[in-house]
Amino acid sequence: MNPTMNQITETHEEILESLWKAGEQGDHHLKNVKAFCAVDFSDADLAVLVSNRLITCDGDRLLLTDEGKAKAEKIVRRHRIAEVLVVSILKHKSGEMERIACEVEHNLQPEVEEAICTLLGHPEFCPDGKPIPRGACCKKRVRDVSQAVVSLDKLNPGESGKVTYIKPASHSILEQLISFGLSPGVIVTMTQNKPVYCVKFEQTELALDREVVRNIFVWKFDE
Amino acid sequence: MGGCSGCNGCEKEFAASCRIQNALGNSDLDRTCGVVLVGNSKVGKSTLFLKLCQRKAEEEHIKSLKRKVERGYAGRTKTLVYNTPGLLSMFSKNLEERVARDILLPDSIQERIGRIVIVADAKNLKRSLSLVLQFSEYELPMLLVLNMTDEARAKGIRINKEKLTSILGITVCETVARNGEGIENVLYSLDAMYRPNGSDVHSDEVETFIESVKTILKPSHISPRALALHILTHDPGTRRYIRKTYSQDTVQELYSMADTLNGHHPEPFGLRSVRLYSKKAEQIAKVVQTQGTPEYRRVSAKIGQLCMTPLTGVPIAICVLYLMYQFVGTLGAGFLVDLINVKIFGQYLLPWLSSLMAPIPYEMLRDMFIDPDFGIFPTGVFLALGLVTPVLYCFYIAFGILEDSGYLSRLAILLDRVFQKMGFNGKGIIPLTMGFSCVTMAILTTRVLDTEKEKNIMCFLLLLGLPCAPLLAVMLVILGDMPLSATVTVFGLIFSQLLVAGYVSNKILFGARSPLIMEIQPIRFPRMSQVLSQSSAKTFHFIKEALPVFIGASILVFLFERLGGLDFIEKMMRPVVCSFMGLPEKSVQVFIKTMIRRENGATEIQHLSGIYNHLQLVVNLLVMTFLSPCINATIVLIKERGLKTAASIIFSVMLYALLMGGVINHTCRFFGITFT
Repeated sequence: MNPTMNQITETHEEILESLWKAGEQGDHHLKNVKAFCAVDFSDADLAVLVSNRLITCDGDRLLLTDEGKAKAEKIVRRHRIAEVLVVSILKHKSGEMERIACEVEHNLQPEVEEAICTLLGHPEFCPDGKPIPRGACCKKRVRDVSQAVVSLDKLNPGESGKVTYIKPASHSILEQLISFGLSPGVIVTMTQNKPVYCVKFEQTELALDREVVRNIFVWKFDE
Repeated sequence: MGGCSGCNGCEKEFAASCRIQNALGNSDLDRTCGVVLVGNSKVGKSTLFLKLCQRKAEEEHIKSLKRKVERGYAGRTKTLVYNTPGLLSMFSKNLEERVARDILLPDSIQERIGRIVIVADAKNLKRSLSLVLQFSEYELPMLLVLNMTDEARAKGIRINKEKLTSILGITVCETVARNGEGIENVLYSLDAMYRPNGSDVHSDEVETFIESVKTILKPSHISPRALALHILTHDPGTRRYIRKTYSQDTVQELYSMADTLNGHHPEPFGLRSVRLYSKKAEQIAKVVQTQGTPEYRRVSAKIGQLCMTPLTGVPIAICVLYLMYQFVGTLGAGFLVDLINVKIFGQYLLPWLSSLMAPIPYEMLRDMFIDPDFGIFPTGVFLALGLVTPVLYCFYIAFGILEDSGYLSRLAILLDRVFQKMGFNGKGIIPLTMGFSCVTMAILTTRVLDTEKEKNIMCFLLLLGLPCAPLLAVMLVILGDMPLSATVTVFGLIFSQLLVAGYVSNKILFGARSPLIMEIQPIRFPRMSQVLSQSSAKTFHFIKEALPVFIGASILVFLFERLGGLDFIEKMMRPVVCSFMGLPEKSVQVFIKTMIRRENGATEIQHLSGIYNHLQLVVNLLVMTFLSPCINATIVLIKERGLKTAASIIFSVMLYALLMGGVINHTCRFFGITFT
């Protein structure tokens, strides 16, 4: 089968999210789910979710599996945290809140999500009064936002991160790095940091001096 | 010269045919023009080149870059193929990387290049696609060769060739060059090359500039589009070409237009363009490439890792160097030299030649050929072939193995910190290691370094302290008969003074060191057949070039000696040579030959070693190592670094060498060290 058929898209995430919301009301009927969902979906979309073992169909009632629940919880959490951020910090009107939160929920990276949650003081309810599923940071009652973006030299051997920004300290260095394929969006892994820094990305491994590495900034991954 | 009968001196026709080709779209191809191979480094260009040209390669000089490029005829055709050094981007400032774009300028070489073959590592498609887009600006027919497809498959990478062809508009071939897989197809496709679709990455502002350049430079023998982009980056090769070809006013107009455009942006044009090309390349790669599950090669990855970590890497490096020493020193300088020089040449060939020469009635003429001290055969031919060649061949094999296996880049990583103190970065390992084979060639490879300061320091160190392979061979032979303390003293002094000289010149010289940005090659088992064939080719090249010089030098010294010149110089130099450095008078001969060609002097000292005592040998070997910029090295140095820098390097090296000789002589005598 074509592998792209089974991939979870933003539509599928929306369905999972609305299933969660419907579940909060205790009404698992397809009609109720459709009412919550921001986008239209087809039976084929549901089939994809079923084949990925995220939901089960029981007549016209849709139920989340454990796996689906975990996924939906994360999406809802990102959406509602984004709502809090948009309203309380960025001071947008609540009409825009929904639209921005909808966009953010699909793109928010886990590290950033934790950082924002901590920054907001681990909010428990969104502006509409609905509960925000708790994340790992809430359970640990993290107080300080650990710096999510760090320069590459702060990574220990074995750690990875996604490049966010390369400071153009020297244009020719930047040009070389880009030509090697190292540009924002690329995931790099530090393989060793002595005697020089060695980083791996895609099919390339580079040896870099400290003065190069410290101008490359990455979102550090936890694992 | 060459097979291009259609292009020579018919530039107008060429321009006209270009216009016709444009009008016809992609269908036409000028088969009389040369082909250039372009690609990132380590994608297998040279392997592909050798397979295409069936190992029959020659060299041609690029005047503007003072550098030679390899060329050969593809298959049985009359198509000339040029090989270029690997490059990162079309706008790179590095001298080596400039070759690929300078060769495309109409006045750089005799042949006109009308086709571009981009050689890609199939594992790393994105980077090569960026090069395809960049070189598509030349609006020449192109071909994309995806090499190393076997390794890509092992990594689970699949590339949709048809899709790639339709996006780029050029033929795409798949090869595994080192097994010869797909070579026939490439040869065939050389005649089925098409103009690529435009890169389509530049802003309207840049496109407008390109249009104006097109109108100003009409008619031109090279795509004005490419010229326009190189004008924007202030490429020195393009500037030279435009200055030479167009009027002063045109040049001024073009560059002031470019400066106005560049003034609108804080970042240089090259950087902005590279970013755009890479972005587009990434988009294309995403569409045509799928990543499946890779077959992990854990063992080689683990070995590669162990070689780079100091804790395990340093012991490994010591082992590798020891093995290399055993291979070159014991097998090459010991066994092979003994077999060829002593047994075959000394015991069979020389007596046979003497009997052959016996009927010649003039003693002078006989001596000129077979005199054991000055004759052409004993001191010229035999030493070159019997002593230098075997050692050099072994050295090339050892160096080839280190390079091909990917170990050299790991050595560079281990040594980066030390090199930093000496004013350059880990990349310096390449010229330094080359220095042990031939200083002249090593000076040429200093082009891989980025800044002037790095190049100057490296040239200084190369001339000052590195014993080249022939000298090393002789050293190993001579030191082999002495106690270990002599070997330790000689090599200890050489390496420690390299460190000191590097450190001091780093402090003294102005300028900056460029930080290390170096690709680490995956470690792999070296391909011995290729290593052997390349070593043979290099050794053969050496013999071809060095043998006449050896013979010439022998004749010169022979005549000089017969005319009494040698005696005269020996007397003149006596205070320095005999009193200050404590060497025998005859060592003047050694120095004279050393100046002509380093290995020539080295063989001379081996020849004369009977009249030396051990201390004198040690002193002489060291002085030779320090002193000797041979004629070749001097010429190359002047070409590369300019007369002024070259003169000051040579002067300081010579002065230093003589001083060192004296100091070592007196120190050893003072402490009563005789190495016996």
